[in-house]
Amino acid sequence: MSVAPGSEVVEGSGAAARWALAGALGGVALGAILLVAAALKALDPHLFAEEIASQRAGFGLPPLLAAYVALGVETALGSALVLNLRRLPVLVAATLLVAFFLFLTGRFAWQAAHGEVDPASSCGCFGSLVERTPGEAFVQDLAMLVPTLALAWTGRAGARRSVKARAVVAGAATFGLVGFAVAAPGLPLDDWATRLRPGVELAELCAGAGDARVCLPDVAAELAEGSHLVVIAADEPGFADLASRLNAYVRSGAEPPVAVLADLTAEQLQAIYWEHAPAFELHETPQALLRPLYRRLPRSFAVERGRVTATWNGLPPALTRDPTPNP
Amino acid sequence: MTRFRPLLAVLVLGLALAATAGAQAADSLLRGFEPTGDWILELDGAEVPKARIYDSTRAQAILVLTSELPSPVLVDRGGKNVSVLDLLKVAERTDGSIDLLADAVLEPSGGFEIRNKTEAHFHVADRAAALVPRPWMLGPQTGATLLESNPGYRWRAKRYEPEAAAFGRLRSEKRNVRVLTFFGSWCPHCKEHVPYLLKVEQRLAGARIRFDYHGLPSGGFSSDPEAAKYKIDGVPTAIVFVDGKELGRVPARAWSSPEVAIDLILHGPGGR
Repeated sequence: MSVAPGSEVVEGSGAAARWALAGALGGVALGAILLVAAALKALDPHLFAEEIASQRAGFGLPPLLAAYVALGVETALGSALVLNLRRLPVLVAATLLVAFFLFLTGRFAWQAAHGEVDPASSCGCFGSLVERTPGEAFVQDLAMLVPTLALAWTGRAGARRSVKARAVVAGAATFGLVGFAVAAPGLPLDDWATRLRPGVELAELCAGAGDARVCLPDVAAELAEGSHLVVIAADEPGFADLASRLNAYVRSGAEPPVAVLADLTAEQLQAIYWEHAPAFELHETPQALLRPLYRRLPRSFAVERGRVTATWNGLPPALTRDPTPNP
Repeated sequence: MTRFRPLLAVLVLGLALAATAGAQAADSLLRGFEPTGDWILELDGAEVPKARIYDSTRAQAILVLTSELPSPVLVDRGGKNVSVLDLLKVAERTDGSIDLLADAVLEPSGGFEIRNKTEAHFHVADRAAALVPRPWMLGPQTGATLLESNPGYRWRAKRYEPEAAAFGRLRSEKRNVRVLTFFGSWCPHCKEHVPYLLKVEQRLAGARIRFDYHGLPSGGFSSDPEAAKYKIDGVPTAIVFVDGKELGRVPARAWSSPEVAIDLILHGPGGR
């Protein structure tokens, strides 16, 4: 007799008890991985929806809805496994989910290796906070998910007590996390949900691997020295107003200097050049490098000698009277 | 009257400072025009190859100098207008950039029309003028061609100073080395960094290192057989070959001093 996670008593022979313990531990490990992944993705469901759309993994649902459904499924299974509810339907569903994840990350890695997708891009499996190349994502998923899943199938008795209560907890966790995901974009969590936060060195903000690895100072070298305001933006309808404010700021001679980071094509750069007449430095920056730095655009930050000192949703206070500072 | 002298002096000094401040403001905005190869000038539909075109981001303006027109032309992107000015008010700095003197008088010459989102068309001195994007340089190129055709490359190459120790080791290289660089003439990072390599090539004239360049189009490189052959997924990418065999690639992070990266590939850390 031994005690498995969740404090249930596992009865039977010594070997059976050990298998039951191993199974419970495997289930807890797999469940924890799923819960952490779901929680990180819930911080920025729009990013997750973009990943679902780019991988055409939405099963016909609108990407954002598919993201919420996927978060719900992942949380429900993760909670059930952590609570040792290793019933057949749970394990079958978890196996299908793991197989689906491995299919997606494997396909993504193959596409990256064959030049079909940007090898610097991340699969987004753990939101913005975890930087993994497609190849790394596949190998790590294989190493983390398969052994824990295999273990979870062993000694499959699972919890026998308080099953209904555990199911209720798992359900509550699922609704809670999906509710959080729905609310998250409106919450001031950008410093938590992205890699851009005060104290971070620009040289730490990188994307890609090997020779293709690129960091923020490589695309905007002047940011590594002195003080700067930096705006992350995109060529969208609001860009005209943004450019107008930035131009006025530059022409007023105000300090510190301001720069814009944006993922733009050569044609977009030329069109912006004439249409919006930027008086500020506009640095073309790969999306793989920019996307983990924001949830909504524009997002801004102050940098001093290569270190981020402040972040803002929208424009910095020097450029607008009503910024929404991060907490 | 004597007791008003200090007041008068303060007044005169104040006026002088105000005038100076005004002149500096104008001066500081219309300074630092850098040579650019992004645009070509067309007059009455024909390219003017010898036109010198300068760009200033801060001034939001392009300055055009050509003997085909009687005066320098300032295309003000911010004000959406075109002016002409006296050539004597154009001052070239030793580094090749240009300032307009503080007392330069800009004579309006009308507005400009943006066509195809990327071209500015205007009239000046009774001629139809246009600034249009320079066509991309595609396929195999030489360093000399790049420098000759793009004033922006020439200007940046001139300003770059390779690192002496790495450069010395490259110069004394005994093996047959080839550096093949894939670039995009449309790509901002290539405009910034490929000129550094061009300077290195210039300085290594006569050494056993051969430099070749290959221009790629924007928006996907797979259509170019050479890019597909070497699995190019970003530009600039420089591949270092020794006796025909690939030894390494200049990492994306190392383009601020490509000679150091090439030296590292060829000789390892410490330049052995």
